[in-house]
Amino acid sequence: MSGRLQWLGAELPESAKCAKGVVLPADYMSTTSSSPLASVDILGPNFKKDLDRGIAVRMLALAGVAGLVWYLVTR
Amino acid sequence: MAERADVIIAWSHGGIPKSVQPEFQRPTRFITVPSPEKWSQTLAGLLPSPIRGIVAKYAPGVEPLRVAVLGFSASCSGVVQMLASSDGGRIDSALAIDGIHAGYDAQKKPNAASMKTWVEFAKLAFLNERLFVITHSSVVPPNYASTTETANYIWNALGESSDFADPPLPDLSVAPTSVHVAAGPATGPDRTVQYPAPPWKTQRRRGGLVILGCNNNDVPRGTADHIYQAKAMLSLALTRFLAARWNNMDPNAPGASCYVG
Repeated sequence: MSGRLQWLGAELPESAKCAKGVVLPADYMSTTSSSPLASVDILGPNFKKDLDRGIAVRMLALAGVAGLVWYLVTR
Repeated sequence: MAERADVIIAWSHGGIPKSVQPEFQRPTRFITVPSPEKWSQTLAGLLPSPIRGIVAKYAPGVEPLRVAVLGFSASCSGVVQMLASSDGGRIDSALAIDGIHAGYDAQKKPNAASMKTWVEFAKLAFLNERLFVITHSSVVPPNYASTTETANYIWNALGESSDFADPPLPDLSVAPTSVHVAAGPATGPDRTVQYPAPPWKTQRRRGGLVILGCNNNDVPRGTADHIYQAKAMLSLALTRFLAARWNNMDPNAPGASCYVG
């Protein structure tokens, strides 16, 4: 899933990224770092539009590759 | 040596039923924080790191592994404050049982500023980076947005308008039960409302974002329907979604987790 985010051009902070479940480190209680959810806002208000645009770009790329293969096979 | 355990934080207004606790197969600590007099004060003295503060106070000696927060009705105010805190990025799962409310804006839509934190967490869940289970009744409160309206707001904010479940939802059956409402000025006449099955209205899922909406059986007041959410939907969210997620993932297995410090 994180690959999908990079592919969207959005960089999700490490503190927010985890497709496998968020685990706190063993020394968590003795550390003082913070991990605000607000940093996720990097995805922005046009989140779904960006996501759809990403899907459209990938579909376009796939169509291009398929067209090239078809051209090479049939010429 | 400190005990490493998954931690579920709830408030006494909608605590964690003992009946569901055996469903969690890995070491899990169930913390019930006393409900405050004012919900704006629920994290007072626990900031800037409420997870550290709550674990140190209510489960001393525990090193939290994964953290979930559970709210029912007013205690969803505690959940959103946790999400908005400097520990927001560390929370693996949030369960909001018939309690996400917001004021209205000029267009009589849920106030965007009040919904922002919920929407940000929903984005992560949408991408399967977190688990976010929202359940709601169809109770219509006076002068502010209902849990139905806020659930729709979140779903629509992510660009979705139709109902679908991707991946498919698990079995959502619930044993028949009834809810007794004692007579009172706010609750109306004494009555017992039957729930042979959940009165489903909407079932939506995208990745780790789950929205389960119910119709009201207790018309017109809906008091029993709100109580039914605590009685049935709260346990359902804990067992079918949170326990299923945590049981399925071994947090100690290589590559099975990411560490958020």
